[in-house]
Amino acid sequence: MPTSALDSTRSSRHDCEVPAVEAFELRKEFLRRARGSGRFTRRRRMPALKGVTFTIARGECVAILGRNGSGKSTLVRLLSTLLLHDGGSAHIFGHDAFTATRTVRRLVNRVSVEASFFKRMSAEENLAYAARFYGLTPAETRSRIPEILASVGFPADRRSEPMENLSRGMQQKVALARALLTSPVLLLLDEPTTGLDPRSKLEVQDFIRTVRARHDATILLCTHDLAEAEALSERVGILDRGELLCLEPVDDLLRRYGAGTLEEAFLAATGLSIDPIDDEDEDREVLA
Amino acid sequence: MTRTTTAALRHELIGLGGVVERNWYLVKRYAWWELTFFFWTVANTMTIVFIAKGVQATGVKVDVNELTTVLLIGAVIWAYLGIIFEILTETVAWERWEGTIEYTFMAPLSRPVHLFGMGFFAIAYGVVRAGLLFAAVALLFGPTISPHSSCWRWRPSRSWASG
Repeated sequence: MPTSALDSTRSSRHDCEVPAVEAFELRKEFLRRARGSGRFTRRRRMPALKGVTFTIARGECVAILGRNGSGKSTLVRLLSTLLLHDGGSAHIFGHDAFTATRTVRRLVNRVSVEASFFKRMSAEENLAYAARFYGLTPAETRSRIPEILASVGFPADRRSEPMENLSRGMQQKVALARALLTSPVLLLLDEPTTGLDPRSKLEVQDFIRTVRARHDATILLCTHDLAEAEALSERVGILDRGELLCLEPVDDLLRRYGAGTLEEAFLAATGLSIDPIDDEDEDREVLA
Repeated sequence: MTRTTTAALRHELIGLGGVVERNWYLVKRYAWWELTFFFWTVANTMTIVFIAKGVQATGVKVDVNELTTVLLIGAVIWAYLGIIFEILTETVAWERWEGTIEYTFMAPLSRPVHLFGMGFFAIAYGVVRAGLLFAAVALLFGPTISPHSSCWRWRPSRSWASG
């Protein structure tokens, strides 16, 4: 076998062997103002992630379930290089998420619960702008944007309308199109269907399935929609107060907690009592 | 230059172009606000240029043409620099307000390139705006080129502008 072919085989074998995501004892803390401490506000460290360890294989779809403030968004932000960690490590396709950020950013894209667009700009303009950051030229996006918008079921006659005129479901479809436009190999979905009507929710879920099938993307889906997690993913994890309690196929999860449904398993894992959730997002000193 | 360096440079240049392109889209989308702020700047510049006319009214002996020219150029440069500093200093604030900052920060584009893109746009936008501003105010005051003077002579034909 010629040397170059051998190298190529080794390289592709290496790529297949390297997990898409590998997090080991990943920790993140936020500074939080202590309530009622008077004029001179004291700050205390609030752990958002307490040593999370997991691996996601290439091409796999994994769902992380958790209540509000459980650390799902923090995990997504860490993996998308938006936050610096306080301990442990995270690798995306073998690249350190905190030192090889440029390489990781080329591989990853994210869809969050807020669509986050320039509201006065149209879907086409927003996508073109996002595509430039990933090195796509106007000639490349001219045909690709209409194609990708059509594939998410976005009406062609509304492509030049300002985003602020579009419904939330439409905006979320454009957010998915934006993520796909850059052909990410790892797609981080942070509650992508929250706040959508049932029809839009199903459309987005169908689209996620299509993306996985066609683009060979690895997907990390953070959600608190149990049905969505069950329908889309191969393994389901439960993140509670910054701790990953489990990450396994739904059947194993049900067996582990002796539950008949994912909802029962989730309640068994996180505690049956409905105690008030301390929403940490309010006080976190996050960049944006 | 290696192929990797060329590809990286190309990538950064496309990103830089993207920042300029985005700002152009925003100018188009906020065209009426642009016009409104332009009128505000014209009014602001005129208040400065009127000082030349007012100085003469107080009895001080000055070359009104020269003072008008100096004040007009000064006010236009002030407006130009003001726009550049405003665009550059609000680079992050603007994106935070729109909610896109996280997407910009997680894109594979270096921060300096992002800022350079904003800078290029700011300079181009500032030059065009300053040119229009100069033309608008100069037209209101009516300049004529005098062969005997180092500056424009401002026609006193407009009674409101001649003080």
